[in-house]
Amino acid sequence: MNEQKLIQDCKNNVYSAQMQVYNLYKNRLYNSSFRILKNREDAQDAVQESFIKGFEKIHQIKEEKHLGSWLNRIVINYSLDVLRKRKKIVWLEETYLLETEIEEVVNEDDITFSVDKIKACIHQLKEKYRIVLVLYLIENYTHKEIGHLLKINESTVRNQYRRGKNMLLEQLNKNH
Amino acid sequence: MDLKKYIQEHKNEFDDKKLSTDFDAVFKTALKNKLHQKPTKNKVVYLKYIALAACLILGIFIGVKIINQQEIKKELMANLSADSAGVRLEGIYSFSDDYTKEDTQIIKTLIKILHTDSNGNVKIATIDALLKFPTNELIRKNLIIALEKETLPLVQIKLITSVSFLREKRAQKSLKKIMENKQTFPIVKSNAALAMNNLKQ
Repeated sequence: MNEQKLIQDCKNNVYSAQMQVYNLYKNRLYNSSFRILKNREDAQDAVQESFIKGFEKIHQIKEEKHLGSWLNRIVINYSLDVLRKRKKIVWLEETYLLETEIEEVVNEDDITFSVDKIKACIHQLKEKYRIVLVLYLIENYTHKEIGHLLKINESTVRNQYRRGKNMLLEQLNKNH
Repeated sequence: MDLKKYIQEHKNEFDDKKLSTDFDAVFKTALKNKLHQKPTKNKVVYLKYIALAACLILGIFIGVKIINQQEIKKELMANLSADSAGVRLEGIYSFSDDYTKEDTQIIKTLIKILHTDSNGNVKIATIDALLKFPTNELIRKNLIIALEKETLPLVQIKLITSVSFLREKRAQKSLKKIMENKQTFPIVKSNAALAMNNLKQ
């Protein structure tokens, strides 16, 4: 079934179309949420709520947009909201820091990457670095989009990203 | 190799976690409850039918009661205008026993009886029936009018005690006329005097 037909059926609240969409994207959404929340039950709740919210608001989607990406953004927004409410994460503005102060400590070219190691190291990072890295490296958001999501300046995002990336590379280099 | 480039090339490997089939069942239930609520509609329709039936039964009940009341009133009105004083008395007593609400048609009929009936006992019973509605202005005015015109001593006394009971000060003029009328029975005069004193207080 092509995506446009699927979207149209979902707009008409067709149960079978909704379940098809769910089965297509459930694991993608689950992994995106788990990377942010680090908790299985929380991530499952986020998936459930995000699909239902998505189906309720599906009339807002433009035909040409990729349904999976659209739903993924809903689950990421939802997961960040959960994090804010539970842990009251605040990303401090650090505009006083000059970009030149943050240097890359480890050269990426010297490291042989593996998916499992990267996942393990990201998982262990402090929340404020982990979220920025996940959104930038894995979910492919731009720094500007991340700033908008987290309600911080783009420069702060770039700084957090550089620090987070340095920490990640250090860990990867240790385990190398 | 660039870290981001590496991750994007292996994106699918980062999405290795899988939701269980147990969760799938939970989601199906949640989806049906939130977006496919059919039973509620049926419940609402069911309740609508019950409400409609209840209204219908209530309507029939009220209708029957109204018809009954209309029949009773018809019989009462017939009794009040009967030739026999006994039947008229019966009608007045049934009105006194059964009616709690003011019925203008019946009250006007009773007032007519008060002024025109030939039987003293009927008039006395009529005054008692009219006193059930002491705040009714039509009744109060007509008791005063009747007081002025009435000649039967027992009915006069009943009217005098009624205006005194109602503390109707407007009756003082009529009471004075009764007291000054040489043809008034002494007992009626003394009742009028007592009522006058009562109203002056």
